[in-house]
Amino acid sequence: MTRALGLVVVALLALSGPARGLDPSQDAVEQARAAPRRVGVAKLIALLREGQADAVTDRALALLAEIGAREGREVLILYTHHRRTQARALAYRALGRTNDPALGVVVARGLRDGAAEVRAASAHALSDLGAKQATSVLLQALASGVAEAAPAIGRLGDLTSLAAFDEQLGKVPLSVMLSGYEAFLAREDLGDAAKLRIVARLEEVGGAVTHDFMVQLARRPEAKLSPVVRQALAASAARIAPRGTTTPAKALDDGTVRP
Amino acid sequence: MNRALVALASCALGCGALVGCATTRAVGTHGALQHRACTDEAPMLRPEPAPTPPRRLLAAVTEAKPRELLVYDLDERRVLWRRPLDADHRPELLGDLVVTTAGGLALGFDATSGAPRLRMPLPKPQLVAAARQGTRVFLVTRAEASGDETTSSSLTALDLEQGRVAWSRELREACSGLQLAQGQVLTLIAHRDLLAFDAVSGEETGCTRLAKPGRSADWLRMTDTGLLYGSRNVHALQGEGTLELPAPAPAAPTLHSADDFEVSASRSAHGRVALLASLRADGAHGPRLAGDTVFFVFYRALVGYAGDGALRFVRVFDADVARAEPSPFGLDVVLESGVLWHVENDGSARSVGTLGARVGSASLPAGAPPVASAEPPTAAEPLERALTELALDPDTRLLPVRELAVDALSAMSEPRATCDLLEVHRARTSPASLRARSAERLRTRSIGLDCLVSALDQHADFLSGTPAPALAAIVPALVAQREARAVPALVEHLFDPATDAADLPLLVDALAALGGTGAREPLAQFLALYRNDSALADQPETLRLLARVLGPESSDGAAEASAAIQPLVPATVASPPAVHDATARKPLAATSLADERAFPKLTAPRHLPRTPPADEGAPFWSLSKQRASANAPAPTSPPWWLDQNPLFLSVEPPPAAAHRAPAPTPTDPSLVPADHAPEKEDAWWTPVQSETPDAGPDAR
Repeated sequence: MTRALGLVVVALLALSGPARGLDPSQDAVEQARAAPRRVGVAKLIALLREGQADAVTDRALALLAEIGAREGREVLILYTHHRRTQARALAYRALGRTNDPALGVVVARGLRDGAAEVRAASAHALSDLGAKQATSVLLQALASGVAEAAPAIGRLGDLTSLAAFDEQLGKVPLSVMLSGYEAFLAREDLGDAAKLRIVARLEEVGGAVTHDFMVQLARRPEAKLSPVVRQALAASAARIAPRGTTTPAKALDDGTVRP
Repeated sequence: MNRALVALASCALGCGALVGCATTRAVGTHGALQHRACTDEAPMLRPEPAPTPPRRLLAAVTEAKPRELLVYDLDERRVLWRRPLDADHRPELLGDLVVTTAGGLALGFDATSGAPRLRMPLPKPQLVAAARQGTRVFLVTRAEASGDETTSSSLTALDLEQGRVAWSRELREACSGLQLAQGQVLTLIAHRDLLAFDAVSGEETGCTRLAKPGRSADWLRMTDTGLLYGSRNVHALQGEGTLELPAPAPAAPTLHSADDFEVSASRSAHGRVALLASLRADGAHGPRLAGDTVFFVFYRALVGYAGDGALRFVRVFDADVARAEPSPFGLDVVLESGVLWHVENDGSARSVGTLGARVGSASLPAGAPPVASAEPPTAAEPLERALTELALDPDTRLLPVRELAVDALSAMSEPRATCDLLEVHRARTSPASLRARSAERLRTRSIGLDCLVSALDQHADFLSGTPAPALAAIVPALVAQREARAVPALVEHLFDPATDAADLPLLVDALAALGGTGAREPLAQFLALYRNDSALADQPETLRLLARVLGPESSDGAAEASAAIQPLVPATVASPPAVHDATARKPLAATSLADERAFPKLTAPRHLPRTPPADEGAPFWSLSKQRASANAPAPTSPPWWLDQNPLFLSVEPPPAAAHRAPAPTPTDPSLVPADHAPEKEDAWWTPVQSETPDAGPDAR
C-alpha cells in the first residue's frame, strides 16, 4: 500500500510538468551542493573551468566560499582575474574562506583592484584568512579610501599597526575608524593597556558619534571587553557630552551610561 | 603747369612739418609702367655700403599699455631712450634713424637721442619696407585692393637733409621688398619681377624677370657678395645655382618670411614661425649658407639644422621669439619677455641683455657679430633629451613642431629614443594626434625594445595610482619586431581585468603571432572563461577572433577549457590535489597554430550528467542503501529518487523550494558546509538507520 502510494505520488509529480527556472548548469551547481564534499567541490571546479553564464559562475563561486574548499584555490585564483567585478569579489571571498594563510599575498592583491567591491571583498578575505602580514597594505588601502580595511586592520593588526591606524584619525571618516577600533577592542589577544589607550584616544576625538559608539559598545554584553575597559568606555562616554544635551551623560557604577 | 598746381595744392593741404612740399615725379607715367618689358638678363649689382650705426642698437615697441618705442644699446646693455608711441609698424633701424609709422604718418627718430627727425603722411596706408642710403630714406608703401581699386604701391625717396620728398613713383602692382645696390633702388613687383630705379632721380633703370619655372620671389636680400631672392629656396641674381634648404620644417614657411606684409608693431604672428639662415652669393656657384646652420623658429621653439638637413639642436625658450636675426655667427634672438639671447651655430646660447619690458616687435642689426659677453654660453641639451622635452611640452601651439620632434626621435639610433617615444605616448599632455603619431613611429623602432617589454610589467594599481600601460602603442611595436620575449607579459595582460576591452583583440592577435604553441593554452582558457559570460558581451569580436585563432571546434572542448592554469598561480601555492572530473585532461597536441587539423574542437558548455557519477555506478536501490547507512548523510537536494529512479528519467526536478531536503545529520563535520544551518522542515523521507541489508525499494 505504501509502495503504491509512493508510486502514485511520483507519477503525479511527473505529470505536473517541467520545473521552471533551472538550466542544466544551475542544476549542476545544485547537484554539486547535494553531492559529497569532495565530489561537489570537484564538480564546481570543473564547472568554473569550463566557463559558465554569469549566474552559474557566481553561484558556483558562492558555494565554494560556503564550503571553504582549499582544493578550489587554483580556479579561485583564476577567477580573481575575471573581468566581471562580481566574479572577482566572490573569488576573493572564497579564497578567504579556505583558511590557507599562504594565500595572503594573492588575496592582498585584490586591494589594488580598480573596483571598490573587489577591494572590499579582499579586505574581508584577508581578515578571514588571518593574514597578519597584510596589515601594512591594509593600512595603505585604508589611506586610499578602502573602508573595509579598517575592521580588517582591527582584527589583524598589532600595536605598531594600531599606532599607524591612529594616524589616520582625521583623514579617514570617523565611522570607518570606529569600525576598526571596535575590531581592536574585540580582540582577546590585545591587552587592556592597549585598549585603554584606544579609549583615551577616542575620548580625545569626542563628539556625538564617538559618544554613541562608546555607549553602545559598553552596553553590549557579547563584546569581549574586560570590566576595566568597559568601565573606561562608560566613563569616557560620560565625559563626552552628546551634541544638544546640556549635561554630560552620567556614568553608572555598573559600567553603563545613563544619558 | 600741372606740376605747379599739384605742388601748390600739396602745400595748401599742409603735408607735414618736417618735410616740405616736394615735387613728385612720374605721376603721369602710370600708364607706361603697366606695360614694362622685363628681361631675363640679370644686371650686375654691387651692394651699397650699409649705413654704419654709431653703436649696435636694437629698436622695439613694448606691448604693455601705454606702448612705447625704445632703443637699446646692445654693447652697453642699457636702454638709451624710450618714448610713448602707439606705433603701427615694427620699428626699422636705418643707420642712426629709427623709422616707424603711427596714425597714418611715417615717423623717424634719432637712434641715439630719440629726437624726432621725420614726420610725413604715408603715401599709402601700409608701410611695407624701408631702406636708407646716405641722406636718403626710401619707403615702399602699399594700398590693398578694395572694391574697384586694385592693389597699388608707392616707392618714395625722402631727402633728410632738405626735409622733402625727393621723388615718388606710383605703381599699379603689389610692391614688396626694398634693397639698395650701386645707386639703384630695387624692389619686387608682384612676386615676379625685379624693378630697379635710380636712387637719385627715381627713373626706372631696368626690369628683370625673376619668377621662372622652379623659382619664385617672395623676398630680396642684398649680401656682400650679391643679390639673393627666393621663397623657400634661395636663388642668386647672378648664376644658376639654387640653395635648397633641407630643413623639414613644418608649416613650410618661406625663408626670411615674405617681404610683402606690413609688420605690425604690436604682438602678431609675424616672425613667430620663420625659417632663417645667413646667406651669401658665391658667384657662379650660386647661393650658400654664410653660417653653417639653418634656424627654424616656431613660437618658443628653436630648431637648428645643418646645411645637409641633419638635426643639430633643439632649444625651447620660456617666451615666444619676437624677432630673430641670423648671422654667420649664429642667431640673435629677442624674446617677447624682453630677454635677448645669442644662439651659436651649435645651439649653445647665452643671454646678452634684457629690455625690462614685454616686446611686441623689434629690429636687430642684420649680420652683426655677436655681442661680447663674459658669460659663457650654455651648451644645448643632448638632442635626444631636448627632442623629448619638446615633444612633452604642454603648449598646444607647438603641436606641429612636437610632431617633428617625434619624427626625429623615431629616426635616432639611440635605444633610449624608443623609451622616449613611449613616454610621449603616455604623457597626459599629449593630444590624440601626437599619441597616434608616436604609436605609429614606435612600430618602426627595431632597437631599444627592452623598454617596451619592461613597460608591460606595469599593471594598473589602485593603491599606487599606476595606470595600465599603453598597450595600443606597445603591442603593435612588439609584434612588428617579432619580440617573443613579451609573450608571458602579454598573457598576463590578457587576463588582467584592468585591460581595456578594446585592447583585447590586439593581445589575442599578438599572442597568436608571437606565442606559438605556448599561447594556445591561455588563449583557450580565456575563451572558455568568457564564452558564456557577459563580461565580453560588448566585445564579441574578441571571442570571434579567439575562435578563429584557435581553429575549428574540437571534439572535446572540455579539454581546452580544463587546460592548466599557467602563470597565474603563485609559486607559494602548492599544487592542488587531483581533480575528480569525468572530463579528464588530455595532453594538447604539440603542433603549430597554423595546423588547423590539430586544433581541438570547442563544443557548447558541458554540464554534469544527470546519471549517477562513475564512482557511484551501483543501482539506485543499493545506492540508497549506502546512503541509508548509519553514518551517511541525507542528500540535501535534489531528492534521491529523481536521480536514481530509472523509470523517471524524463522527469524534471520539482521547483527549487521542494529541493530543500531535510537537514543532514552532522555526523561528519567535513561533509557539511561550514555555515549550513539546519533547516526545519517536515519531510516524509527520513534517513533509514538500519544495520541489515535492505531488499530494496520493494521493502518499503
